[in-house]
Amino acid sequence: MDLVEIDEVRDSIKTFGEKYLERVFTSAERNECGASPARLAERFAAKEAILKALHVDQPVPLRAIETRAAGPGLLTVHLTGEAAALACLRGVGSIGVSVSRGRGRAAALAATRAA
Amino acid sequence: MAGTHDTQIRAVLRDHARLRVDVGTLGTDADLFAAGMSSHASVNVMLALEDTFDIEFPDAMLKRSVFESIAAIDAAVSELAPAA
Repeated sequence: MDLVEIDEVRDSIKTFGEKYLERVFTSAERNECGASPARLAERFAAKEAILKALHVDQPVPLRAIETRAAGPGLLTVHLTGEAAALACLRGVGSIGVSVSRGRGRAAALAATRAA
Repeated sequence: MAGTHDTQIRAVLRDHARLRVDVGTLGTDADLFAAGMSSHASVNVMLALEDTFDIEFPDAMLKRSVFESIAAIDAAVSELAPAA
């Protein structure tokens, strides 16, 4: 599980602009979230929750974890590169994520299923 | 002992790490995550370090341990910008 302050994402966009967005989110995520700091905060929280679920202690670019809208409060996960390799190493076949927002925060919970 | 880029790194942390304590009170080996830096804040720190030192962190360095202390950040910056 992970929590992200929506205002922090808003501040990051204001401070670093395109550089921040490009380093953290995939094109598909940006298309789905638009310029909404709240939606982007959900995606960031999802990525961090996934990293925790995978017990990551090695380099994984955040863009190697792509989340896609799958219904109200639900995301599907597409891993590439280092993230996909790590999931394989951990014996993870699929990952499900639920997200929600409240009190200025975005929250995400990731659950893994064995391959 | 303070590293080569200690002053600039502390300035970046003061502006972007959202620490719960004054960065000036932290030792170079103090755990920045334990001091309140979130994963999201560490991304901001990375981007600010890139701007400050005119460097780019490669994917291979995008791990928690690189940003967990002032000493670790200093080592990474020294590796990426030896002349900075």
